[in-house]
Amino acid sequence: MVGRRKTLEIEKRFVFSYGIYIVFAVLVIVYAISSHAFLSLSNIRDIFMNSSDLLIYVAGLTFVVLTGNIDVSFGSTAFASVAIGIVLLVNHGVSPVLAILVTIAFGMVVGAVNGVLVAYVGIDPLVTTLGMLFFLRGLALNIIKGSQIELPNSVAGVTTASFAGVPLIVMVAVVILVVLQLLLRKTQFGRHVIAVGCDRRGAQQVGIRVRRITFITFVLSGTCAGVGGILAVINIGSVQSAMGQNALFAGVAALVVGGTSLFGGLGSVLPGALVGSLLLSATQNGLSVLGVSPYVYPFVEGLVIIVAMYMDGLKNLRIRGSRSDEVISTQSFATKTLEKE
Amino acid sequence: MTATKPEMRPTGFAHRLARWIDWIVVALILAVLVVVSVTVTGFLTEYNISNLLLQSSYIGILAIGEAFVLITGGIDLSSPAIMAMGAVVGAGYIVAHPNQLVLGILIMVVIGVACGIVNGLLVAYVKLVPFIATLATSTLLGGLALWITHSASIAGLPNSFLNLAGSLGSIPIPVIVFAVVIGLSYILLAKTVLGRHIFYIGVNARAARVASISVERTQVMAYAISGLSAGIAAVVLTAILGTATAAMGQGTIQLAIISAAVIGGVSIYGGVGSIPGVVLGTLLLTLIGNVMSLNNVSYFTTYMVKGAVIVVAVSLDRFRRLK
Amino acid sequence: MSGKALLELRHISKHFAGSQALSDVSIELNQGEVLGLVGANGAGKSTLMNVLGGVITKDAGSILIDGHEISLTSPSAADRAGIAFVHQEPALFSMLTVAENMFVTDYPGKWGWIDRARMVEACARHLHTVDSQLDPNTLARDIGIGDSQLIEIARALSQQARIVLFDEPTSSLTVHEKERLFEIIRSLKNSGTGVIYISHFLDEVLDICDRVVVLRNGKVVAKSPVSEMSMARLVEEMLGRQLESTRQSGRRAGDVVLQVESLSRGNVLRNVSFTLHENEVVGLWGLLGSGRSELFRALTGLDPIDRGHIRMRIGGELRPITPGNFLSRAGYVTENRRDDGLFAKMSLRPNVTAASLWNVIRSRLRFIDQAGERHVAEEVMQSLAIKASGPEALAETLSGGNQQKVILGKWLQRQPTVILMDEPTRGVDVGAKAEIHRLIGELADQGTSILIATSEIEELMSLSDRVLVISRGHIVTDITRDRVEQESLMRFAMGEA
Repeated sequence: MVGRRKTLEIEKRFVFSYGIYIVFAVLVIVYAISSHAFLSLSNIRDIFMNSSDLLIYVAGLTFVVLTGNIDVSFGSTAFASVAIGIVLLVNHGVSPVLAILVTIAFGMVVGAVNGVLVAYVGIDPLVTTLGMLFFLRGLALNIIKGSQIELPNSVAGVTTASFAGVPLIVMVAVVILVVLQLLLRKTQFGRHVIAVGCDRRGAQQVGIRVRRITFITFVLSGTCAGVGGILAVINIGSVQSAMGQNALFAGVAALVVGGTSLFGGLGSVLPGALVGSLLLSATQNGLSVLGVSPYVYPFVEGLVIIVAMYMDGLKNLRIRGSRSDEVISTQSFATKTLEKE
Repeated sequence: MTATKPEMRPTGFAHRLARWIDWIVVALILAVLVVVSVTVTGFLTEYNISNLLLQSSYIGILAIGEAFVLITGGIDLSSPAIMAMGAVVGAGYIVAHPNQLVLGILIMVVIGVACGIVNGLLVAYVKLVPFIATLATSTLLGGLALWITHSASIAGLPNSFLNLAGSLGSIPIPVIVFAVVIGLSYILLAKTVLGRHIFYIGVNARAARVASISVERTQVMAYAISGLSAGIAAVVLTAILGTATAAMGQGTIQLAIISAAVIGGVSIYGGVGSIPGVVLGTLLLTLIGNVMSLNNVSYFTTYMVKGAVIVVAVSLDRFRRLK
Repeated sequence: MSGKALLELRHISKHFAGSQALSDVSIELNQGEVLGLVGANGAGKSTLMNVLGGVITKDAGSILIDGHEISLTSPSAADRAGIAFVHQEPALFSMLTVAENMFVTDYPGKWGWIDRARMVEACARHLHTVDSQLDPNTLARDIGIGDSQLIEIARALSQQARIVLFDEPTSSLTVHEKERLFEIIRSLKNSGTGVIYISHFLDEVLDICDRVVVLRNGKVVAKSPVSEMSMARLVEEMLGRQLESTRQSGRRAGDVVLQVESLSRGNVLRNVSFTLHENEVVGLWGLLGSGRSELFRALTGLDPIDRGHIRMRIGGELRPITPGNFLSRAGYVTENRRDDGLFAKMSLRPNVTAASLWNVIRSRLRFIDQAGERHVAEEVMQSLAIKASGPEALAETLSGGNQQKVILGKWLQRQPTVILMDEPTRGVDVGAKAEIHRLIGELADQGTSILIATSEIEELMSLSDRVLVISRGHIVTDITRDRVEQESLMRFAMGEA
């Protein structure tokens, strides 16, 4: 009896650990058979380029979610950061390097504000960052006055820059992903993030500074939003008012599809964030290569996330044991234990 | 073996303040009203007031539905998308069959309820996190609405339908609908067994389960009610706008709904909330938007203010729990 | 005893609202000594542990290590003082590896960068000292409780802990794991470490310890080498004066109202069978982790069962019933009223009617008759002597005893034939406890059948007409009260006799 359960367990674990790759493989095969263009070098480069900003957002978000919190503001943070950056660059003649630094610094500050509100003031992370989402969208729209601002010709060269056939932004994204994965796997901070996500109270008891860890994850997420925003601008070549609008859905979907649990403790930057983002990006790219109406995309993506979440739910039952009542409320996101102090 | 925790009655300034927080919100609204009506020109006109109430009506209806879900301890991010979905399908039907008005309206409402039930099933039985489940259905339905309409707006609704946005005497019909929804939902939440069960599972789902209350069934009902309110809002908003579009569910509306509920004293953690509170929260929020537009504050800045308001409101919520 | 004691507690006192958890406790522990700490539930063992762990601060007294007074204001202070804990069920971080768990607060390496090779090597070395072959790179979620304890012990050794406290370490261990643990404790002892061993299992205490300290009601009531101790005397010291049967109930058990047959759930419950009668209080006695609460949860369908039948008297005859249906017909006072009993953020009125709303429904539209509900609440307040400002008082503002009465009142609204009670007087003050006991007696006199799980022998003896002893998920004996002897209960519960 026990033996059989164990085998079943292992089979399940296999499906949930590698299910995403199976889905990915099937998808690629279907697309490749349907259209020769899909597996062409230029199309693959497109997939990577178009997901470079998403990759960074999701990598930053991963840290927040690993502690059992959530940040829904990253799309607007990216928008507001680059809005400031590009206005400095275009209208105020600031040097590109400084503009980039200011952009990243702004994202960092936004993350810090979120972090303070969640970790130290103890406000629900979902609502805190939802408020931030709208605040920053308003701010960004005010800054660019609702219009579209093109990257100036002086720096336009960066949009097509590439080394050995690999576009600059893809390189940057991959380097950042590797660094963040190392941060998660190889440092005390990264391990403490996991510990907090596994058992917040236990972490507190052994003396891990839960509030500080929580705070830093939000700063990281904000910073990543700034960096991701820059990559998006380089990719598109401009800042316009719709920027970051669909980032929330795409980011959370990529995160969950990549195997990161919304309950915290389980997930990774590599391969998680990478695979999740690429799968989502490839899904959309494939639909467009096949010439499916763009209006269908959100519908298909909605289906993808429901299936992925269902798997996520099962995965959690496996890790935490089935306590259905704990799944009921939004409190899973909340700093439940912190409040009880 | 458990060390007995001392049973503390909270004292101190913060706690005393916390006990008054609801009245502070009411006083704030009244203060803003008085200041605004004296200082802002064009506020106390009949046109503006009815405009304010019209806006409040569909936001308020959606917020009331949201409140039912929030009190169970869940969250519904899909009601605007459900509303859009109901609106485009219903409006499409009415445009095609102008003489089957009632059926068209019924379609809007039924789509709302059906989508709500799906949300409820996903949360209660598939055990998805409410945030994700409703985010996904929101995207799915929003996408579907776009797909159906190809992002064109559905116009050419017959006058018989557009009259729904007219007035009965001097009161706009949407406001009357809003009033009826307020009344019925107040009774449902405060006076009936279902309403009580919603509170029970929001306060302590495990204790409710021990008392043989079906947590799952109650959750499904709460999401269905939220869907129903989205269906009713679809009728109201389509009538007000004169057209139905997939864009009805986009923008700040989701934020407005949750803000209204939270400002009105509904706890995002569940178990606390009242319909009069939600109505009050809706009015305050619409008031802010209305006054800002009267003062020619940009649409973008309104975003910012509302974003700030929700953070402040939830801080108050946290504060309130100190009570 | 040569020189200074390794650890010395002098006149430690700790007061919680309503109770003196520790009063004037003095204990000393020498190098290379294993000190047993025993006491009934609520005797103050946990409080003492928490004081030593820096989790709670003492009101009075001093703690000395090597004769120097130290202050334990936080868990990390206890760490620094060389005090380590091994818990009943160690809380490891499931998604970290064994090695990462072992060094979670002080990873080897520089600038926060973990020197993984060194960490794994050190982990393997420390695991080796406790004779464990565990792979340091295994995820913690994949290892059992016994191995988890070894990790805690190894961690203690890695921190050069000089004092190791074991808190009920054996209750979830297999026989083999237990033997291994005892070997490690002996080798700790030989290396000069001081060990405090807390356990319900008195035979283990007599086996492994050098000296034993008995706590009762927050006081040290006995201190002596184990060589001068017997099981009988330990039990006597733990429980205090021999309890005479305080009361003759004069109740005569009536018809069978509940019949449970071969209820089983994994390893937690094994073939549990018993019957309950009208007019009867049945005590369910067992130690922590014996399956008491688990039996209740399985019986009521809150946990799934593998096997078993329940029959209940409905309309004059015994009929099979599912656990869920049984729950909706019975009363169930749960072990932890905050977690799954009380609607803390609601007033007393809806709390009282939660399990029987149908009694206060006014119309076919399922409206709640609020006036009727208030009336019910007032009645309950009166009949159970609940002290509150009124039916609208928030439940969380009541005292523990009154909260418990509210919960009892909730179930009485159903007029159930069977009431299950899990530790109904835990954490309530003495006065309320007596009142709850009186209520239980009255209910049984009126015909209700009550199954009450308790770990307090005093409560068991004064309440029950019959006693079921449960041990490791199995009912080991079923005896009437007049045949109950305390020592035999202990022996039964430890699965010894």
